Amino acid sequence: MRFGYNGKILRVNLSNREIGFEEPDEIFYRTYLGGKGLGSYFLLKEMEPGTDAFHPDNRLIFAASVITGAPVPAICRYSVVSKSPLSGGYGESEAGGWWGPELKFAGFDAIIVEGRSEKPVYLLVRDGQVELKDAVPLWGLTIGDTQKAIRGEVGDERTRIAAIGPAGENLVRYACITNELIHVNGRSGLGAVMGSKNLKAIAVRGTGSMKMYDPEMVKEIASWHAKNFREHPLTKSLHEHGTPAGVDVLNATGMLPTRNFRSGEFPGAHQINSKTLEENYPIEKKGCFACPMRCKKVVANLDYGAPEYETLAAFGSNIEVANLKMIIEANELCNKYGLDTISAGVSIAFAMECVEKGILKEKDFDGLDVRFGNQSSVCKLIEMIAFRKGIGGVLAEGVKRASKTIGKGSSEFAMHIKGQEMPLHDPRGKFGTGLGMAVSETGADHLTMVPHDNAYEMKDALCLKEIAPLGILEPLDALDSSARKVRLYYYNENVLSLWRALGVCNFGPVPRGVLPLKKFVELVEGITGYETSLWELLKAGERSTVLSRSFNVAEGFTRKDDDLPPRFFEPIEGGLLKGKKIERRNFEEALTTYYGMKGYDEEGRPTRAKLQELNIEWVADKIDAK
Amino acid sequence: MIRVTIRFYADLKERYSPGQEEGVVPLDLEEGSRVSEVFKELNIDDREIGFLLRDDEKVQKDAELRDGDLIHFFSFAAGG
Repeated sequence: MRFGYNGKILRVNLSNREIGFEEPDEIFYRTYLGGKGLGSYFLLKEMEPGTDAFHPDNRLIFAASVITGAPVPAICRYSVVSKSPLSGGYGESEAGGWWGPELKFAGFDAIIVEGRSEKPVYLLVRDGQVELKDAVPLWGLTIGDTQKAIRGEVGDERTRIAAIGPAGENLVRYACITNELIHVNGRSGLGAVMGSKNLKAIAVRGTGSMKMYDPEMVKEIASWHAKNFREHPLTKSLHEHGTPAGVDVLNATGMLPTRNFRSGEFPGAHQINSKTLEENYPIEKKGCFACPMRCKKVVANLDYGAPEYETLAAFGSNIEVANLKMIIEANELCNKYGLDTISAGVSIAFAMECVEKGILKEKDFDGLDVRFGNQSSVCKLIEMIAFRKGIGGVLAEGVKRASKTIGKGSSEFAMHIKGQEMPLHDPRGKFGTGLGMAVSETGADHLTMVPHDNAYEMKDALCLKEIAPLGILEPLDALDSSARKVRLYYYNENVLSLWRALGVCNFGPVPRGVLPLKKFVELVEGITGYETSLWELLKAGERSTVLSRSFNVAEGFTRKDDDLPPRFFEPIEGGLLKGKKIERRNFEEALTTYYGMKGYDEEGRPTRAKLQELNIEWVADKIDAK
Repeated sequence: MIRVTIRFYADLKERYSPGQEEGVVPLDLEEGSRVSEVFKELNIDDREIGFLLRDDEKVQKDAELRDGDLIHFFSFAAGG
């Protein structure tokens, strides 16, 4: 008897319009779980190294997990996995909403897309039935208009649609995929891969139900979560203020990226914080499938929500704009066109620094005044990027490629890791998070360690108590770079990898949420019927990270790719952390220690023994493991 | 008696020093008091605290307070 998953993976070849199914066995599901685990498995197994991200042979994998769809808070996410057009390596991004559960109710656990359609199409999946539909009339439409048009055509408002906008069609390398207008697979440029395949959207609708091993136990845990999240300071704050609460805290602690990551304090922070947002706009709370936390704050009369923390910092402090109205407009535009707000904002900050240093001039921007603090040019620049107009075409390539085109030393302040733009977090104030951003397989990613280092500084810190079952028992300074910090990072990374393999929201279980690890294991048992343990699950999380790293190794990535932008090895210019920098020697030592703990060699390549330990020895041939 | 000053930041300001623009609260304590006394006196929920600073130095709850100390209270540096 199978519980939790459908046992069916959908395969779609857009070149020859072939549709097929795969039915992996139980061991496969228990080994790879779903999401990041399943995506990295198929990507590594099937892709020829060196394939361009926009080549039809690139795979685009949408994956739910063995627990997605259970009526429990914070476990509804799905992963999209592909070769990233930003990094040329492993690409992955998660989104919440309703799309993941709907895919499960429609009878599938994942969809693997390959090939390229001759003309624009969208994929319609309804209760086990699969069709490729004409999307020529949809090409060019915004995310919202696409959703409306497809729902109108299929005549079902409950159809869940993951779509790209014009940015994905125009192959902007940081285009995203969006469901329900506010839930976004934002990172890794996966919307551009979808655009390269002439695939406008995947619409799913399912009326099936999910078989669970012990529905009563699952219900009990869901109730426990719903009852307790308001009592936990972290989830309580998320419920009340959402991620925008981060603006004030990061500003106070000197870690609010300002002026393209030169300073950590923005004098205008109070004008772009959650308080200003709540006092000046009609804010409603929205959320995801089966989740009462409703942490998404949306502006009631707008289509695409309200800016999250990352967007407030990207279009606020980091370009020195203290105008919330403009940030909301920028957020609306990016979401309408399908652009990742992090990469778009950081690309604009890069352009502003080019202007400040005299590398680019007003004439390069068709007369726009692109200076830090000048809000008037920002929305126009977003349009130019989404439609690749003028210099927008250069910025649409991401800051790594743009800095190569522009030259004149601009690579020194192109804020990216492995080609992916920095999220709005400064590693000079949190070493473990910085290490995580450097080693992340997708490039700059602030979510491989959650919560960040400051949560583990006090002797009796709540988050420290919550991860005691991992054997992390003592506090560590946020700037500590010793082996103890690497261990804290490594164990935390395994937890976060597990969340991605199972489609779990970071805000659900501890240490960033409320559900204790023990109860989480019981939840997995209740849904799947596995007699499992934290050990087995964390190993599955680690397996997914080693698979994605192996994908990068096969593509030729080495130790030099696990690095931070040069700016972080220089002193931060302002704020509480003024003068602090990352010491190169400390960073290299920590990297070596991390490789050692993970079972990687000095170049960051998984060893054969490590692959054997994780029971994925088949990977050894792919990366010539020793 | 010793006099110490507590300064709250970000969301903690509203909660523990309402109406104080700068988030500052003066406090008189017995000599030999530790930082944990501040938690008791101001009824601070320690689950909300990320870290504490005395000047540039991080301190724990068991640190002994000195007359004239300025202790900065920060919550978790979260984000999204």
